[in-house]
Formats: sequence, C-alpha cells, structure tokens
Amino acid sequence: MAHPAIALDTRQGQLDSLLEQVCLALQLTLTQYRDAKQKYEAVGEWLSADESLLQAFRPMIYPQGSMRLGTTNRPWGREEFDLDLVCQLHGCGGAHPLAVYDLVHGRLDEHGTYKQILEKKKRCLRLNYAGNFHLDILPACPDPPRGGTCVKVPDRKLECWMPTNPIGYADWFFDRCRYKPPMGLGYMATDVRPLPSPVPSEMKYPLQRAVQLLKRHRDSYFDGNPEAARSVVLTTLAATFYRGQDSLTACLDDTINAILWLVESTPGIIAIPNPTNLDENFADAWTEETYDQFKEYIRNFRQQLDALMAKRGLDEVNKGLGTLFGGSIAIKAVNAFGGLAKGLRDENQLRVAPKTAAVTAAASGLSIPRNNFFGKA
Amino acid sequence: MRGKRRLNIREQAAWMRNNLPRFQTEVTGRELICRGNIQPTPLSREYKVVIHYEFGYRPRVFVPGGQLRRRDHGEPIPHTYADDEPCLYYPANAEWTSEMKIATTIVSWLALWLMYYEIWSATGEWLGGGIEHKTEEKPTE
Repeated sequence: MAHPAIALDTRQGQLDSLLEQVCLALQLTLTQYRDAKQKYEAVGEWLSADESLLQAFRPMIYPQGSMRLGTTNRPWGREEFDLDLVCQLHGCGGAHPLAVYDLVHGRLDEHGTYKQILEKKKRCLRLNYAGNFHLDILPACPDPPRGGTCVKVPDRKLECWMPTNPIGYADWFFDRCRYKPPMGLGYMATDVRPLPSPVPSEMKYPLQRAVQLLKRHRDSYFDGNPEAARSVVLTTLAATFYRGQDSLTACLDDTINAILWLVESTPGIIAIPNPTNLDENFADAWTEETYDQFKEYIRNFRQQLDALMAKRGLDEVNKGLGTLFGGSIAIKAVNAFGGLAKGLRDENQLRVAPKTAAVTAAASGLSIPRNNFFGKA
Repeated sequence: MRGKRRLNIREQAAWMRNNLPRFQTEVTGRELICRGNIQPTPLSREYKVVIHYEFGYRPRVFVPGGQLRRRDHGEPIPHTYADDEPCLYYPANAEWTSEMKIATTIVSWLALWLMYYEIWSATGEWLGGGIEHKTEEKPTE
C-alpha cells in the first residue's frame, strides 16, 4: 500500500485519518450513484434523440456541479440529493432566452413520465423523482463573446441571459486540486469524464474531501442547504485558498482562517466571481441578512474546529466530529478507524514505540506478541 | 518463547527499567510494582497505569482512580475482570508465561487495550477482538 490505512504518529495525522473516514462515510452509496447515473443517461438520450426538436441545435449533455467535481455527499436528513446537468444547444445564441428555455421544456413535456414530475425553476427545469432525488436540467447556449467554454443560460424571472461556465469551472477546480499530487492509492485521471465514476474516497484529492467536509458541516449547521452558504460559494472559496496541503486537518484549518479573514476584513458583502467567467458572481444571492448568517456560520466552524483539535480522548474526538458533521457519521468514522487498527494488528503491523509504549504503525516500533483480550465482550 | 527459562522478579524489573525508563519500577520482597503513564495514540488521553507482579501469579494491571469510565446505563467495560481490571490475554492459551518479559508483552497489550477501550467508549463497539469468558477467572497464572 502506498500509504498506511491509518496514521498514529501525530495528532494531526491521526485526525486526518479520522476525517478521511468521515469522507468515506459521506460518499453516495453505490445504489444511489447508479440510480442517478441511469436517470441522467435516460434524460440525456431523450433530449438528444433523433426525433427531438432539439436535434437541430446539436444538444450536448454534460453534468455540472458536485457530481462533476466529485464532491457529492449523501443527502443530509430528509434533504434531497440532486444531479445538475447542462443541456447545451448550438446556434441558439441569437434567440430569446425564454424561447430556448421553452424549447427544452417542450421536449421534456412530450415524455409521459417526465411530464408528470417536471417543474419549472428560475433557471433550470427540475425532474422530481420519487424518493429523495431530483435532476436539474439547465438549458444553455454558447457565449462566443466571452469565448472558450463559457455559456449563457436563460433566467425566467429576469427574462435575460445569465453568464456561466460549468466546464471551465470544473477544469479550474481540478487544476486547484492538482496543486500537488493527490494522497492515497493512486492518481485521478486527468480528464474529466462525462459522469465521473464514484471514485473511492481514498483516491480523491484532499481539496475534494475538504469541500465534502465543509458542505457536510454546512448541512449540519443550517440543517439543510440554504442560500446563506451555497455549495458553489464554499467550493470556490476552498479552491481559491487551497495551497496544496496534504493534511485534511491543515486544509480545513487554513481554509476557514482565510475565509474568516476575507469576510471580517471586507466592508459590505464580498463578491465571489466565477474564476472562469468573471461576469458571474456566485455571491449575488446574498442579502445583508443571509450574509450575516454566512459569517456567523464561518465563525461557528472556526470554534468547532478549534474545539475538535483540542480534544483529548477518542471519545471526546468522536463528540467533536459529531458536532461538526453529525453524530452517526462520527460513530461510523471512529468505528472504521478502529476496524483498520484491528486489521493492522491482525497483520502484525501494529507496534509500540520504544520508551513510551504508544501504539504505532511505524517500522521503528517494537513488535507486539500475539494476544487475545479475554473476559466478557 | 518456549524452552526459555522463567524470569525472576529482578530480571523482570531490569527489563522494565531498560525498556520503559519513565516508569517507576520497584521491587518489594517478592513483588514487582511498576507505575507509569501510557498515551495509547496521539489523540488519546494519557492513562496512569500500575502493574503488580508476584512470581507464580499472573501480572495484574490497574488503571486506577476512575480513569476508565463505563458508558451509559453502567454497561461494564468489555474485556475486564472484576474492578474493571483489563484482561489482556487468554490464560488458557498460555499467551503469557513467566518466561516472557512484562515490559514487551503486558505493557504493549495494555496500550492496545487502552486504544480499543477509548474507541468503545466513543462508539459502544469493542473492535479489538478477543475471547469471551462466562465465569470469573481466578487471578493465577
């Protein structure tokens, strides 16, 4: 193995191991992932089918958001999880935005099942599936003046085009992830696949994991996914301030400090431009009230993370993890950590440090003879 | 370890002093008493531990002063004798015999036990494995 399953050398290393297990516990289940993928593919086929009116506009279907970035978490409580997909048409740049929106709506409305679960949202079309899953379809047209992978999307309320760049944003995010090579067993493929397979969490970049953890704490703090701390805001800030930390603890610690510094030292409401399309401001939904909530939430993260890093005793660490990410996720993570420790022990890879008798996985430790703990379990 | 001769109290004490210099190791008559601290993992608490050993009996280990806490409902700590004394090995398998050094067996097993105790304390699950016993064992080797 390229790196030991758990680290026992330093407080930070051990906390990293526990946070890694939190991330694993946050992964979508394979069933959830396969279900989402199957629905994504079916909608994509329907939109781009030969008999579809959209055919004339050479539709290109691709995922955006957390599924593309590999930062999707299991849904929090009764929240839904979603998959965002872009339906990019071509040769439609001169059209009225609502005409493009209605064109995509019309195609979905022709489908017996989709028709019944279809909902018009401000910028996207939503398919509300039974269970806790929905699919958001974002109609888009290329945006030649801005160039590259920039697109514009219709805004139904404002009846205008809004600038964005889902492909460019994901490329930027993965560039930030690759600030340094990933930890773990291997390297991520450098290309962004149409819908990335659910890479095992141990093959994720530290930045992807940090974003998962930020989002989970946000869900826990707000009891859901509110306007006050949108995922894209957290993702952009974390990626902006990332500087190649391998340690998840250090990455979270530094990221929160940087965000806190930014919001405390900037008068008024900060702007968070899309780094790949500066005309889009991810923070445009903040009001004074929700921005204050965001600042309070960041301060809360700082306090909770400080408390976690000061804990003594794995039972106390478990409580700290529970406060940040939810009690059942913390217990899963600590048990997984214990299971890995037992696995190392069974392979005779746990040792004790000379002089102190602390448990270690380091080769410099002294080996421990076989034993079976006895007594009532 | 088989075929080796038994270690007497003074030899056990010498190994303790050599391997674990921060422990206080005393020999009183036939008895060895070792006191020291073990922090099983970096995020763990540091535990004060005491080892008593009298030749011909099994080594006894204590984590005194209420450092070990039962979970809710007073549920007993897994793998302990009475008085919450950690059960570190299976006597019937002769996993420990007086030919072995306390310094490299009992102390190491206690460190492992404390790590699994903390995880149990957090989650309610004992992940360290072991063998269950139904009746109380007499503290003899």
